Amino acid sequence: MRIFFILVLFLFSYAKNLEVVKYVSHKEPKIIVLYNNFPNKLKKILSLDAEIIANYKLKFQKNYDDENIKESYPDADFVLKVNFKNNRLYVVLKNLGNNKIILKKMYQISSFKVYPFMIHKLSYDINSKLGFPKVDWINKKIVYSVYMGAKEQAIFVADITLTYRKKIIFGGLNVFPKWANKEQTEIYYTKLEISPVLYKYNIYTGAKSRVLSTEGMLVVSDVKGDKLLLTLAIDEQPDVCEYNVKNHILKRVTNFSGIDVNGHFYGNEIVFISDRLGYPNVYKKNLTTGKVSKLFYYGKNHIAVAVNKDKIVVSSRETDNAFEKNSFNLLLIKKGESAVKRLTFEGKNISPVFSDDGTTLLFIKEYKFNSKFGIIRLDKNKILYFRINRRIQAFDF
Amino acid sequence: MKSKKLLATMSVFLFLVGCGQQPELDVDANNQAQQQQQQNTTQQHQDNSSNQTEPTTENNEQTDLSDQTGVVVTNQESTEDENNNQDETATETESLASKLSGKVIYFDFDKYNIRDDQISKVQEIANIIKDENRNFTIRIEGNCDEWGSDEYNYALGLKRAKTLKQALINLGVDGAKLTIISYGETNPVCLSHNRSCWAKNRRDNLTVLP
Repeated sequence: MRIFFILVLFLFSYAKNLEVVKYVSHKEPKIIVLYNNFPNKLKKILSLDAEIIANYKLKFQKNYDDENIKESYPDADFVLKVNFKNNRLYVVLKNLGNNKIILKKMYQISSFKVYPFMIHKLSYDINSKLGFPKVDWINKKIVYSVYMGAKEQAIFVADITLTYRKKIIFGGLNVFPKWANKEQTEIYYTKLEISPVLYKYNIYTGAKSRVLSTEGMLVVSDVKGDKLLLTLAIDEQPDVCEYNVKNHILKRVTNFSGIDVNGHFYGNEIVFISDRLGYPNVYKKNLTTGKVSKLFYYGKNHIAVAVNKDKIVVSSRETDNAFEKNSFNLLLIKKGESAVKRLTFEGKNISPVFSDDGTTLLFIKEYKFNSKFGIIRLDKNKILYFRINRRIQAFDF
Repeated sequence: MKSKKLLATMSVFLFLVGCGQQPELDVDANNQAQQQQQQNTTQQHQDNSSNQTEPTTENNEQTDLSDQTGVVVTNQESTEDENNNQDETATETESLASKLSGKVIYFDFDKYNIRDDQISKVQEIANIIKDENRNFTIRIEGNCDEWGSDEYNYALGLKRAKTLKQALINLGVDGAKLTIISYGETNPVCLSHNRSCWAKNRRDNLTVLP
């Protein structure tokens, strides 16, 4: 009896640290990839994609003509044959259960440099053919600015794994790039000249046009068609403003004597960061009634926010030390719910950006003062990191 | 015999005169080439001057003068005067910039109010600007340490710059001489990751705009 009582006490003292996780058995389809001509670089991207998408597993075998695949891999569900020649990739995906070909395609690229995008397309097709929800985000480009030195920042375009990277704008301070359209052919970015100037730039033609200029500060924080949400220094005061690029009308959305930044469109509201209580926190403003209210009550200091349908992610400062390293972690809440889910646990995790479908979150992680891109698959509880050798200033996806 | 001697003498004389003339021709050609070169140089100086100062009409009149009177020296003197004026302006700009470069205002973590220990420096800056009779624009650059998101830090840097601008106006500086910009965390003076470095980066500094 005594032993039982001690055991209960022991369990009770640790119960608060126990996390009960119910696993639902879910078998991910296994695909055997047969190849002869398939460079390692392409293989690496295909593997990374499978890991990021996390809906199927791959196993590679160098033997394009293996007819005994079912015997060699009795647990395999599909076989994918790949053959790369002269910048063309020939693929055949077959269901081993019923022997039916579900994908037969040729992918072609003009230059080998852009091979990551070719493999992302293949991964997208594999995922779709296997019946999983579409993963449009795997084909998206990332645009980001990096520190090259004091008062020197360049803008790059990359694929989601940062394998392909191209410097598109350099010379001086080029900051806060933002995609101008869903097709990802143009970006907005701010150049700090004598005053900040907002430019629109076509990444394919190099055509550049001046959009707006102001004294002090000018950042595009969200784009919705012809409307931009800007952090703009009207009267030398950082406030959230809305600018229509078609009719050139600039509207002040917030009006506060402190700091209002990082505005995002959110239905009939905007979500933004403000220090109106003495420290930065997340607020929302109804654009019809003008009412401003606090959106997030967990934690005291929120430096960035991202929104997508019913999901809100904030970057929350969790230590408050002027003289030591501070940690900023990502917290997820769903609209209408009070539960807060912690997405990261250490380091400086900032600048969250949702994919269009809200299933994936990209962010910047600075850990020991190096930068990495983090990708979180929210419904898969999975995080992957892609290191970059420079410090990232800002990015869009 | 006499006529032969005379003929020979005249031939020699003519020969010598001919040789003498040729060098003169060369000298003339050289002179012309030199004059042309000087004119070209003058033209170039004038072009450079026009790029620097943009007084298009004034430069054309000086060119006409040199064509008519060959008074290249006058034009050169005029160009030198212009260059001297520009040198003086550049020197004065550098002098003001160097006076202001040592006056950096520091801020506390996540704050944009001016600390008590920085007030005397603000007063010094105000005095330097007020003592300046020439027309300069001074830019106040707000900066931050590396903590926080960059967008928030840009806004914080802007607030720091604005606070200093307002303080200077309150001390009698003409606000029209001041402009502000924020560099957020993109313009550190110190790249180490420690407390003293972060403190150095949380600052306003001043530059003189051309």
